[in-house]
Amino acid sequence: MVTWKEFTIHSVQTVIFTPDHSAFVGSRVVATIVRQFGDRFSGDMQVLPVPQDVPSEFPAVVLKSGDGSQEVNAGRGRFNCVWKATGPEASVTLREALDQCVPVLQHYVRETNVGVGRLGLVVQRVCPNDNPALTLIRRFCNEESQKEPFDRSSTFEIHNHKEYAPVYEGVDYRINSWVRCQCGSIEPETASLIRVTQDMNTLAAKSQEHQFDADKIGVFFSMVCEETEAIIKKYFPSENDHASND
Amino acid sequence: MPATIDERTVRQPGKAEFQAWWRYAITAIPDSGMAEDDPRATPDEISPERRQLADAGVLHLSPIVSQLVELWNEPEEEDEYGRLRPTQGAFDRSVGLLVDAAIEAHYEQRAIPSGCVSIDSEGGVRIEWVRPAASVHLVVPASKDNEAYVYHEAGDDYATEDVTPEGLAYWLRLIK
Repeated sequence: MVTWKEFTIHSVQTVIFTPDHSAFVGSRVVATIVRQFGDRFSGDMQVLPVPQDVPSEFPAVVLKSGDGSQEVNAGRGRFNCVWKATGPEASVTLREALDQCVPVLQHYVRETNVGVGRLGLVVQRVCPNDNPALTLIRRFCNEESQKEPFDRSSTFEIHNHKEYAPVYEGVDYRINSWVRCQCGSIEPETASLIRVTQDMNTLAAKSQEHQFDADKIGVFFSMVCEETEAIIKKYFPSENDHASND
Repeated sequence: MPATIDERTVRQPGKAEFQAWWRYAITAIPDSGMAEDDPRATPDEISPERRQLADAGVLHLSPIVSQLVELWNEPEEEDEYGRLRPTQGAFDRSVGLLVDAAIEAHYEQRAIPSGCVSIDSEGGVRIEWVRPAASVHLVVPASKDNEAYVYHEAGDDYATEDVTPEGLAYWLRLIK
């Protein structure tokens, strides 16, 4: 059985939503980010004027690190900082990736005083597997379902959503938690694998009520870091997890 | 996470969708719609022209911005010649002007040529494009109270004017 220990982080996307950022100017965003993180985002740069009628989440600014492992993309309504694995040897923990991304978000919020109503984290993990469909079916389906109808599945996925209130100091709001376990392969690798995507975010319906400053953003990402790690262990537990729980 | 937009997810636009909107952003011509990011569907064909537009951006600026960042990383102290790093105002205005000028130049399918960045003793920024046939000098003073200007020289023709992104992009046409 596959365990959580066999998964590696493939990408980490940290997101802040800035619904009222009418003063967004791409060139100012570039200056704000490169002033603090210029050494890191020294790779490809894209800045384009985006008309007001284009959805605000579409980025007008894209900054990349020299090795392509980190990226900032920003539009009027949304600011992302992303970490991506650039090869099989690129291995980080979720905490390490967040330590790269979250300070960029916090700097942006402090420098621009932009209102942040919603936050999100999307983590993608991968684990090489010769027969991902069969592995997932055996893990998540009872014996009867394994015989029929999932006896000859070429691909298989489970997709689970929960909304809940995390127990964490400084967090008094509910979050969405999505987990999606899929079969697939990720370029440039062609070997089959299991891909698990976890999407943790604050509720869109509450985005007008929330005002996340830089400190609260830090608390959110610390909280979801712990939550996502705990969740992946529930989906793909190891023997040691059970032993320690007992 | 689902292909359709669900407000409970942090949805990332798909590549085709992203590029379609980049093209829209550049040309301001309404697009027919977004491509679904469903791997079971055949994605919309992105033409080479569209890809070129979508990818153009201002990539060529990175070397100049890198020089600015290098100066910004100098110590805050002064030496016998004055400041070692630009003021924040000069730095921000310089990056802003370069980026906006690059966008203007991009409309004419031109790129901002490589230039040389330095600072003055008060922390103002100077970016110079010097070639045998012509030169263009962008001067961004340390203080926001002073106007930035651009000086150009080509043969017998030379002049100084307050800088705008459009003006800077225009004069940089001299630099081959």
